[in-house]
Amino acid sequence: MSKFSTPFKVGFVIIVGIIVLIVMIIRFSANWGQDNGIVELHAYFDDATGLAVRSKVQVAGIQVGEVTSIKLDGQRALVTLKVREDIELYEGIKEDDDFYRNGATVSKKLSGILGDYHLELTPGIEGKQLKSGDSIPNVIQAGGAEALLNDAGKIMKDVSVVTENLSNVLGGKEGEQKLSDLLTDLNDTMKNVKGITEDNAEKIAAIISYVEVITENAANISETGNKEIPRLVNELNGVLAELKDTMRVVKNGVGDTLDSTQGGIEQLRASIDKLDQTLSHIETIAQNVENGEGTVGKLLKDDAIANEAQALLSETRTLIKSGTETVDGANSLLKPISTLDVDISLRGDYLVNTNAFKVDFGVKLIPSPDKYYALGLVMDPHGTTSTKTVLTDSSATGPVHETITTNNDSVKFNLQYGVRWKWFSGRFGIIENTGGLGGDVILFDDNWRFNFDLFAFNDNEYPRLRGTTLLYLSLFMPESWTWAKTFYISAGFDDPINTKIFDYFVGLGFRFSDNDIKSIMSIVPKP
Amino acid sequence: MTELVSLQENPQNKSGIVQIVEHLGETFVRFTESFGNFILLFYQMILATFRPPYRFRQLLISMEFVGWGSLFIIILTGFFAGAILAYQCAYAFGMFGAQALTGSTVALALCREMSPVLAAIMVAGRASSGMATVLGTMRVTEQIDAMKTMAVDPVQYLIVPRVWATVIMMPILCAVFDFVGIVASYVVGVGFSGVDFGSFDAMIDTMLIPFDIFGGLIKAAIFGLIVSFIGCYKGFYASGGAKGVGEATTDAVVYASVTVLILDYFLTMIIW
Repeated sequence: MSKFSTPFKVGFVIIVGIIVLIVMIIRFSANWGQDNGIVELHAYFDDATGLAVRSKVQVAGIQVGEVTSIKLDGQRALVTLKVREDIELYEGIKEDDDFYRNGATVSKKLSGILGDYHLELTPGIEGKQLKSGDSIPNVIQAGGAEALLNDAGKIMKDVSVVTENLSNVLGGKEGEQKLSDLLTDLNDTMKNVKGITEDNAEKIAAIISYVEVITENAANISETGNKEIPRLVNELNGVLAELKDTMRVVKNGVGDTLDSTQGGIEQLRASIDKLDQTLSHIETIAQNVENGEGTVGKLLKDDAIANEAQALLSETRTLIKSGTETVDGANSLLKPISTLDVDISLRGDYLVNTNAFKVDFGVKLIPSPDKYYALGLVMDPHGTTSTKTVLTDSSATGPVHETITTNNDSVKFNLQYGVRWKWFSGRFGIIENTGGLGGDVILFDDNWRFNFDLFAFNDNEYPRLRGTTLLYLSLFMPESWTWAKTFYISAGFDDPINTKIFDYFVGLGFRFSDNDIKSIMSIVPKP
Repeated sequence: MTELVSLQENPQNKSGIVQIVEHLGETFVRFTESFGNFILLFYQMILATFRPPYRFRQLLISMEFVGWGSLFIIILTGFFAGAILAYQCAYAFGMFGAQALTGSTVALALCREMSPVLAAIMVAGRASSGMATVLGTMRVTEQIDAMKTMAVDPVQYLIVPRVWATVIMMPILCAVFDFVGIVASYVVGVGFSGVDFGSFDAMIDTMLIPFDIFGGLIKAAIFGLIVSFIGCYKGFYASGGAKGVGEATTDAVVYASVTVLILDYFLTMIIW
């Protein structure tokens, strides 16, 4: 007796068989389970030679389905094919000559030299989407070697016409006669030319001697010129010297004026230098802030401070909440502070090229109508770019300088001081962690703004320019609808000069003034 | 048999032509008789299948005999069948640069034809002959008659479990044959004949569909029925002592193999 029982042996064989069957079906047969999402389509062919049931249907050379049946429908072949459902096919737009522009197209293509064909499908991009049972609008009838042979046949016909004509002209006795006549004529002509030159040999010699005399004369003329030219040059020298004197006089008269202009340029240069210094200072400050140095840096980078600030804020909030009851009494106390206007704004922009969102949070402190401080946080998908050069020591090739550019998706800071004159305001400070300048054009009673920022002078070859327009809904609404003053739409472009991160964006935002905030505070329930 | 004896009463009084005609008639009658026996036995077997008692123990023993017993020989023949097929395909297709078709050709040939037929012939050689021997011996030693005396239906006890065990086991053996054969074609085609693995694999994927495999398994089941039943039939009607048993065994293998090859043609026509 063997050590295995009969049921075990039978069970073993059955298990092996089932496993092998499953492996084979999954591994060796790619068509398994693909039937659950197919579209069945029809196409009429004038000639279905070489196509068979289960012939491949390809899009861009990749199999997406197969031919399911080929039937004779009247005079033409009706080919039914099934295509994977996720391949979207479109009907296209019908044109006069039964052609559907930008519609799905199917054509018969030769797969190999053995004469087997497949169908190449172009899905199309316009019109309604094709469903199961629809016909493929465009069928390209002939394709592959057959069409080539047809074309070649036509060309051969043309060639044979040409050769026939040629043989008619040149072939046969007549043609030979013509050719020999042609050669005789040519011979005669050459003889004539020879005769003419022989007869006129003397005359030609005379002509050549005349030419000789003429060139000799020309040489004489240039020789006399040689003596005249130095004299002319001398005279010209005199004239130039006089001109020089005149210029000297003129220069003395104008000199004073020129000096003062030079001074002006120097002053301008000094101003630019100062501006440069200022910018570099700002740059350093920004750098420090980013590294978490200095008060502001710590404030912005240190979590502990942030936590404290949060605690402080919540305390303040409770304080304010408890204080709301006595707001009426406190109003007189608040008066000196209430001249400080506060604007809080939040804006989300969709960056079209990057396909990401950018969030801009800003607080504007306005102590007087002609100046303001703008603070802000920006969450930018572009992130900050930092470049550093590292000395890598690799034993094989020696030390190598490597430039590493890292891009962090991070929060950036704005801190700007601005001045406003009527419809224009200028500002400078930190824009997105780097030094920068900005200008705003404000139209229609503050309802339409154009902001321009110029910043990040060192990140790329050129500074980054950004233009944004903000349009408040209140521009289109009756004046009594004060809520419309809160919402705006935004649009703009970012960095068109450095094409590397060029983007344009659209977005929505809202803005609270301190009046809004006060009214919100007053209705927040007491804890 | 009594009628046959009465037909040839006075052989010495007959002319040559009459003898030849008589011989022809005898052969026809014998053929018709054995074919009738065959059909009748098949009918009895079908009836006995559905009539209790159901002998699962006997079925299990037969399944072990057919399945487990043939597994090794199936793996061996499957491997070499696939290997030689791949070798020849790679050589022939290589002549016109279509070596990539090797894998798909071998896979298709194996799944559709080679596996069912070769597995059935292997089972015929191993199991049918065994069945014919066992049943034949039981017949000549009158064990089958004894069984009848004890009111045990010999068809139900001996034939039904053997036939159905083979019908169940044949598709499994055929699947094993397919798999081993394709693996062997991979080893030979990619390993030795240098066919590119990517196109080898991709062509199998595109050309083989599940129905190719299932069709082969259906064929294998039908072959299993025929092969085992021929073995049982030959053994069941064996006569003439040890010599008769030997003849029955030889006949079982020959008839089973030939029937498989002939039937394969018609089954292929019907299935595909």
